[in-house]
Amino acid sequence: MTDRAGKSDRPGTLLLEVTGLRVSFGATDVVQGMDFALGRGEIFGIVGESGSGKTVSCRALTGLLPDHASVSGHMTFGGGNYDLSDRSACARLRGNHISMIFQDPMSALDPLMRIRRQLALRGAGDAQAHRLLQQVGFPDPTAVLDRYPHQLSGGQCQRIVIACALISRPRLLIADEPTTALDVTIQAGILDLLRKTVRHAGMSMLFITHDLSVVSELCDRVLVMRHGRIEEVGRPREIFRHPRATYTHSLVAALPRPENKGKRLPALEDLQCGSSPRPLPRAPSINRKSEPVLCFSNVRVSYGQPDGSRFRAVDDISLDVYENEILGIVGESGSGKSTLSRSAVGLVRPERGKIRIDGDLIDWAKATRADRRRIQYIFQDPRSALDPSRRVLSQVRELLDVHGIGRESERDRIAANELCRAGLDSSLHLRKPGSLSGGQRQRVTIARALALEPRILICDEIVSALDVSVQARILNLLLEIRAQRNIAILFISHDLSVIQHICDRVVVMRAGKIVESGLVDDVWRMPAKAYTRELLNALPQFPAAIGRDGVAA
Amino acid sequence: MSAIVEVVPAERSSVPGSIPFLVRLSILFTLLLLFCAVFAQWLMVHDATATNLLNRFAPPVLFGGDWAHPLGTDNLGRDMLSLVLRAIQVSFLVAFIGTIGGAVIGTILGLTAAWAGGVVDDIIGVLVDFQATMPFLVLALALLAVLPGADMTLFIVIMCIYGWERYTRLARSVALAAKESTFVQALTVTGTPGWRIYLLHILPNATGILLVNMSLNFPATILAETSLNFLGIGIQPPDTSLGVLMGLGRNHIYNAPWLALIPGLVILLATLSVSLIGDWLRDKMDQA
Amino acid sequence: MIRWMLGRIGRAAVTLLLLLAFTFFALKISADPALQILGPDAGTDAVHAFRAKWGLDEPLWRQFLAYLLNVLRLDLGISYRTTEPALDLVISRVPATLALMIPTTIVAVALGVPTGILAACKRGTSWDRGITLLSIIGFAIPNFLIGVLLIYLFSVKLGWLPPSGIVDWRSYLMPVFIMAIAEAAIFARFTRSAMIEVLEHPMVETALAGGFSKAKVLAVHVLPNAALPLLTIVGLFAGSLIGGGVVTENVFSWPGTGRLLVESVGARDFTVVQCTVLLIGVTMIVTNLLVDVCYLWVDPRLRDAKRRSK
Repeated sequence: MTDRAGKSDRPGTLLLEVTGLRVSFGATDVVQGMDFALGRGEIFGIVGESGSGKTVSCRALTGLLPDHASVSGHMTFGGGNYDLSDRSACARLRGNHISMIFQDPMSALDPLMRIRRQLALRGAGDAQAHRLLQQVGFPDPTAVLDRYPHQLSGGQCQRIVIACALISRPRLLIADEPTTALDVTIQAGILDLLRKTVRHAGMSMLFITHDLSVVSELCDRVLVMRHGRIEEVGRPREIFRHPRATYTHSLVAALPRPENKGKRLPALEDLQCGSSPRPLPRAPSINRKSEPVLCFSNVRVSYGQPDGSRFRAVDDISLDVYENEILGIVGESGSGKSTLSRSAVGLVRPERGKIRIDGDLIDWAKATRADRRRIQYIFQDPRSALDPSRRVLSQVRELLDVHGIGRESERDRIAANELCRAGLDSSLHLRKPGSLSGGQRQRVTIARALALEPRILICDEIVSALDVSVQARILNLLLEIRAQRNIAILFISHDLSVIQHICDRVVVMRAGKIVESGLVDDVWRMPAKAYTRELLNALPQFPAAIGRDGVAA
Repeated sequence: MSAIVEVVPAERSSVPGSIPFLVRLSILFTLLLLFCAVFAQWLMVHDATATNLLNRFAPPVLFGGDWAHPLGTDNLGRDMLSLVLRAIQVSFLVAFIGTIGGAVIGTILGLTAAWAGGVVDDIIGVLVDFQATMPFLVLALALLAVLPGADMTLFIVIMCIYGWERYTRLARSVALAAKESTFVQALTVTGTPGWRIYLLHILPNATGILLVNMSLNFPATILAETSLNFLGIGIQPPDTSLGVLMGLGRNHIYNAPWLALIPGLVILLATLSVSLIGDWLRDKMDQA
Repeated sequence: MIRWMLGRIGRAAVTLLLLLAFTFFALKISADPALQILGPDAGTDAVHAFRAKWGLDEPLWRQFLAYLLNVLRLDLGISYRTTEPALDLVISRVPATLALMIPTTIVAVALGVPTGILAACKRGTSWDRGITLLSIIGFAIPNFLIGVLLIYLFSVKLGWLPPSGIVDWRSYLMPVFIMAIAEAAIFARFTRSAMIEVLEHPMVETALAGGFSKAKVLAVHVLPNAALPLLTIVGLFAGSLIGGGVVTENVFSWPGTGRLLVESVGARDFTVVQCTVLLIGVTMIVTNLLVDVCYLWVDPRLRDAKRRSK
């Protein structure tokens, strides 16, 4: 696209330089002095956990923060000088020299408007709209132009949003977690598109994410943020291989990788005091010849659709989980992995097939309370899985009451003990879920499940919403539980690297069927099926983890 | 066990925070009205029903009257102050029972619809539709017309109908959302029985929104009651209410405007202050 | 889509049936037509003969069926008071009510919607608080109170406006003003909350980030999306046109349906009451149905969801 050459920038010179950026909301300082610079044609990553101020700092550059935020600092952009406290001056750059894309593509577009009109509103005529849609990967733009956003998938919507962002031929694209809401194979496609587009048009990109591996694969340089401050800046391979800041080191160390499989992932404190983390208790041996704790045989679940046809979410699946084993189920959204696990606890009714726990056939329609005790389920979002109006201790205790566990006078003590074992400090036991952090809430739901001393624990995406460091702690906790409790764990996740870290065996699901299953190490090293290979390839590669040189192209 | 250094939001302070001036005033005024309603018997200097045809249309103090009848007298020579006190008592009683009655009926129906589903849900749904197609005032007028012997009890029963369908909708949608929510699923999976989930978890979480609706419904109930009685349908003299007084006063607006103004002012301030409190409560709920 | 429409129509039909059952039983318990027509002194034989003649000794369901047939034939009985057909009497009052309600709707929307938009755009400022306070006052203030006050001021004291009935165009000013205030207050509140919901939608931020001015985002994205929930309120309001002004019509002795209803209730003229209730109910049911169709027309998501279900 040669007509872009006029606006494209020569690499090597500075496009953007930010000095002394500070943002505060009332008395809370969210960004406490940031300086960074971005070269022309460069892809620059900002990485940090939730609350690190990464999103706020980028919005400050374009005057997109709410009025009650106070911003100060200075920016030069493409030769012009801007005072960041002057919101309207920065706002003039938006949609003109700077374009932005955000996390949730489905709701970034107006639901009442056809795609054609959404592009036209941003100044794209029909010819340009066609060209742009082709450029972002729609082979047949005409069909797409006449659609409404809800008729497209998340990945397709994000491509449209990218097309919108390209209309004005900006010099800088700010992408704020643009792939977080997407499946891993879709994510790979979008990242690839972004990289190609940016390089091709000679634009620069500011890429904000919580995901270290995405940054390391995509970005030329990366900035690590924590608590509104810069921890370090540099080339991703150097930063992640030889981190200077302890914080960066802890982030890298907390990532599950083949080298630390089954080991305790160190926390920031471990690294700060220099001690190596306490080893996990040794995993007990698994006897796969014994009676499985949980057994699905030929389970089929289907949903009636409005048009009367039936959609098979789970199609004839048989699966065994043994004592002391952690079995992973991996798959993308719509693969049926959650439906399968829900059928095990009666949240959905299987149309066909049997479910056995310790060999006993279970029919949830007439199951006893004692049956319920044997299998417990932990949900992805701990906030919505807890009663917001009751103290966490009483929520754990209530189950002891329901099941008549322990003597009445002892129950508070038992509940407190269970919470402590799940790693929730006793000073927090009398709080309500609203005043706990995400990780702490997830500990409560784990304690609540374990208080019933189940034979099997089902964990449905329980770490997907958590930051890397918190995820590491929960994974450590699960490995501890397995080692101490003679329990079987069914671990459902879309994240292969987590599965690889924690599971003994893995089952890959797609469209309600099992694609492949086997010991995790075997599947990881030598996937037998093309789909599994696709999933593994789509996984952003972390430089320290792989032996090959350079960044995946 | 690893130490906990995750970011923890501070426990929400239980200090009520500053209450806006207008809301304070409203609370004060509502309390004053409540005081009048409860202790009306003891506050009345004169018998509210005692007529004195020799002392009709005595003006209030502000219009040049004397302190024997601080708010003047009406067309039958009854003491307005005593009448207004009695009227506040009746109107508040009707509005209170009406609001609570509507809330209880509506909430029970809403929870039942969500819990039972199927045909029961459909039947309750049609009832709600029916109520929604019929403006309350029209329905109440029709009922008061056909039901013989319009006495106080019947009137209160009819007021209980007011707004029930909104509670039903609210309770039903809250319960349905809860039924689908992870938190109820999580409880189901742990073997908690259904009644326990509804009574100990769903209902307490719905009380906030239902209470706010009540505080917004209460002034509307006062309005409905006073409107009906203003039209002369409902509570019959010699019993009185703020609406009855207003309706009577309207006939004498030419020569004794205070007869309409005084009850009118009380009605206005009552509905206004309770509305302001309700609105403030709703804002609080939204923020929480 | 057809199935969904049929479902909607079915539900409306059931509601209508319930409404008819209500009016039928209301009529039944209200009074014995034999005694109403023949007078309380009529002999037992005469009463029996009357009942046999009009089918009043038949089982209840047959009477209900007969009632339904009569309603279908638009035969809603005779007013006890004026001996006119009840329906004619009610219909003759409709134009006066509409003449009041149509300007009221226009004023209420013209006043309420823009203030609601303003409050939402200036959320949290003193503009917002002022408008919210005004709308609370507008809603809490009783119609009859301002009615009586305005009459006192403009008719009694100043003598500018006629106090009752329809004299000339000035007669409309007070009642329209009074009703429009209350309705505008409701519109303002709903507009505000609908707007705020849309303003928090990520597409607004995306559009702003794409360089749209605030005014453009408002016109292109926010207003159309906020109009959807407003449709329901406007539908409810339009449906209550006929019954809505009961109090105001009475304050101003307006010769409309609302006043007729109150007069008929006072005179225990049950056929007319029944007829008015039916008319109001049917208007509400029909407008709600129309609103549903409108949704189907304006919201592509709904259209697709329904199309999939054929």
